[in-house]
Amino acid sequence: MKQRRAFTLVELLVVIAIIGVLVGLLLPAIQSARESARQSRCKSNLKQLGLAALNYEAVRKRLPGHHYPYELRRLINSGITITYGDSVGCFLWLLPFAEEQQLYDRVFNEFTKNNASGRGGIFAIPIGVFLCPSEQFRRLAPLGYATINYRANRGDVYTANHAKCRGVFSPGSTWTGSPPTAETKIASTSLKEITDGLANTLMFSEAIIADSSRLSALPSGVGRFGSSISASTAPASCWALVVGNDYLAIPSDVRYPPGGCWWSSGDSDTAFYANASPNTPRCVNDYNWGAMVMPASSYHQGGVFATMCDASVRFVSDGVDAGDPTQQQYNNQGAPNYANAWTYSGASIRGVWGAMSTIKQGETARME
Amino acid sequence: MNSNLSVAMCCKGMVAAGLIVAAITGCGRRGPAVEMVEGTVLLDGEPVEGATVLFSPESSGAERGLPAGGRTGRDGVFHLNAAGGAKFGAGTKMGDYVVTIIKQDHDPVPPPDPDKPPSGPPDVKVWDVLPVVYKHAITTPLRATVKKGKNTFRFELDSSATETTPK
Repeated sequence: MKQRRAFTLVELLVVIAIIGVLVGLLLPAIQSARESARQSRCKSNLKQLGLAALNYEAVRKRLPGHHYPYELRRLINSGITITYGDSVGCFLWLLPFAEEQQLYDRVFNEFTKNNASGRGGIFAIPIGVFLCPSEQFRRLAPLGYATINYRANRGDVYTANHAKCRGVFSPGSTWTGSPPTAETKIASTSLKEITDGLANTLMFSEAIIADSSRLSALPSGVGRFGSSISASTAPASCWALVVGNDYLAIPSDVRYPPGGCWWSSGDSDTAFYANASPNTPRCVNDYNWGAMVMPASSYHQGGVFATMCDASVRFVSDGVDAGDPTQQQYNNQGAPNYANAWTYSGASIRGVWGAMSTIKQGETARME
Repeated sequence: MNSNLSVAMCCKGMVAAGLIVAAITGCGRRGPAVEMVEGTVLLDGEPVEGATVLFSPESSGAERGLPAGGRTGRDGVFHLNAAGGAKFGAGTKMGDYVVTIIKQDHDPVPPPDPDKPPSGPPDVKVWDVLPVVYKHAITTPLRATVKKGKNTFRFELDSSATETTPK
């Protein structure tokens, strides 16, 4: 009998199974390769911002101001009204040093002409260097601003965004009241004030943008955003609000997602505090000074990227020592007065992560 | 005969491949081992709603617990969310804890200006609803020991408690 030259069913099944296994092995690898490409882009953005800040410092002898920016304060003092002048953060001033001179000129012009509503138009243009490709919120923020994923280090104690902080980004000028006087002084930080060492002090990190109406869509525990925490400066009092995959109480007025305005100096927009470890829930207390929990967060697996003050970028694990989150922050007199917890001037009580965020508390803690 | 052998090999091969895939992709992340904690907060016998309960570890070394927090519902019952990657609501590690309980109330908050990004929280009067003795780790008389298995606590607060009786 002549033998037919053909594959048997079993042989075909074996081949299909082998192909299936190979695809099964390959797909996760492709996914992780794509995520690692997004991560390296994110890391490169943080590096760019670090270099931009150092270049700004080289020109102006100070780091850019965060809130009450010196550049605008000077104009305000010369009699020009600038409606949003007090709430501009450090990222606007980095634009010319991050190859965005044209955009900077147009935005600055809008501010100085005071015809800016600060929203829509030029303010709604997404700026690549401010956006992490791993971000999943890719729309315009509800109020009509382009979003931002990078955050300025405001230290380990919540200070309310008008105050001098324990971190790097303090207001650009002293507040001279209304009407402003000519006594305005430059108040932002200079590199020589960072006595803990540039390589040991955080400059920027990242945070995800979260639409409070879609909390359950966020990964468990990561960067969720609630409000109305009881006025405790213990970060765990924010976590206490999380029930299952959602917050116990989301007040209707939390319509402003964190990172929802790139030019703002609002703490929920462009600041992070190192009082809680990365990728833990965040809360805004909308009625009391001194009780905001605004940690860094990301969609990268297991941690966040951070730029140090020497413009080096490192990955910080979620497991970094951030002290005991049930511990409250007391003020400089040791008084349990949340209103001025930021007057505390001792070493950080928030572990290595907190120590890395302060500029001159003399901590010797180092990240590995 | 020959085809039977191939079928058997094929099945073995697929099982082995499946195991390899499972080993590589992993079967989900696991947090630290935690014990279920449920508790009730009562003030003069009445359940307290909306109080924040914080468990701060007291023991040290390997026995050290995980800091955790919870918030009471209408019936005064809370569950704990622990730090360190444990599943929220699942409780916290075994160990001894100092327990602080906070509840505050405040005047109505003025509505935010929809045209302007928030530039700092409004200055609104805030006051404590519970005696402040329970609010601070240094004055609170409350302690809890979390053991293996399900833990149920009952914190009976006394509205006449004052800060002059730290323990």
